[in-house]
Amino acid sequence: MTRARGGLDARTVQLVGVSVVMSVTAQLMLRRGMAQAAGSHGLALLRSAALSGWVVGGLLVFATGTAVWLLVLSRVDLAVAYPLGSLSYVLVTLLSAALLHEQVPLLRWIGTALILTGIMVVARGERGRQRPGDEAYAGSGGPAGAAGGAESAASGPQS
Amino acid sequence: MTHDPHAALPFILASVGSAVLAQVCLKSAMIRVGRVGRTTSRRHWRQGASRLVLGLCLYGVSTFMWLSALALVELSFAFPFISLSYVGIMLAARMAFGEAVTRPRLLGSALIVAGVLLVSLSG
Repeated sequence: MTRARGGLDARTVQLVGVSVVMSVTAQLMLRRGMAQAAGSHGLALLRSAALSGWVVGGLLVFATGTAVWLLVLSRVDLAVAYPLGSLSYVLVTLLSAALLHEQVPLLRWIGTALILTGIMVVARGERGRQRPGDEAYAGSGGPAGAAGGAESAASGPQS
Repeated sequence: MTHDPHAALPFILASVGSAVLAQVCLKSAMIRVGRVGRTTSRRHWRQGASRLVLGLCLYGVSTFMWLSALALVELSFAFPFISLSYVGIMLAARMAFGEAVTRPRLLGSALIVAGVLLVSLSG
């Protein structure tokens, strides 16, 4: 993957916004769908996932968000992409509370803040480093991956 | 609705773990394929094909595990665990490709792990 020279232009900011919003929306949709399948396992779980509009829609949104995240990664350095992608952690927690009516204990907020700080520290360390072949870092894992994590970018989302 | 965060932990960790392995497979595949451009031939793609397929399958496993987790716990509990993939990828990249573990990476990883521990206690 060719890496552009780290800078942030308006177009890149737009792409980041689209990618983060899509991956966060996808997670909310997946949880909305799977909450209705609470307690099922294995094949029964797969079946209810495949029949849930929320889950199928969420996976499509996730895939699109991941593709957009790959565009972001092709334009900016990880030192820029990581902190931007980490916005998804705050958004997911905020919107889980607002839209899914989850009770978020203080401890969970503090944990999320520590995670954000950790991602910023990693990103600062990447700034200006010459790392041929370090693209393994570009992803963040899982269906969250994209922008996460956002991951995994070819992720993973996961990131 | 009952929430059992601890029952979901194996699924969450399996999802993150398989996503990290998927990432390593894809990276390893692309090292074999080489830099993608106009000169990339079908032969190049074939050299990385099995790893590409394995990587994509691992993403499938990761997705299934994630959906299983989301059937058990709230999103605001499960989602922060995904940040462990930063740590997992750092370790995997060191083992598989000899990439450096720099001090910021180490410090940042420690903060991420501490944050995830707090989240896991919040269930």
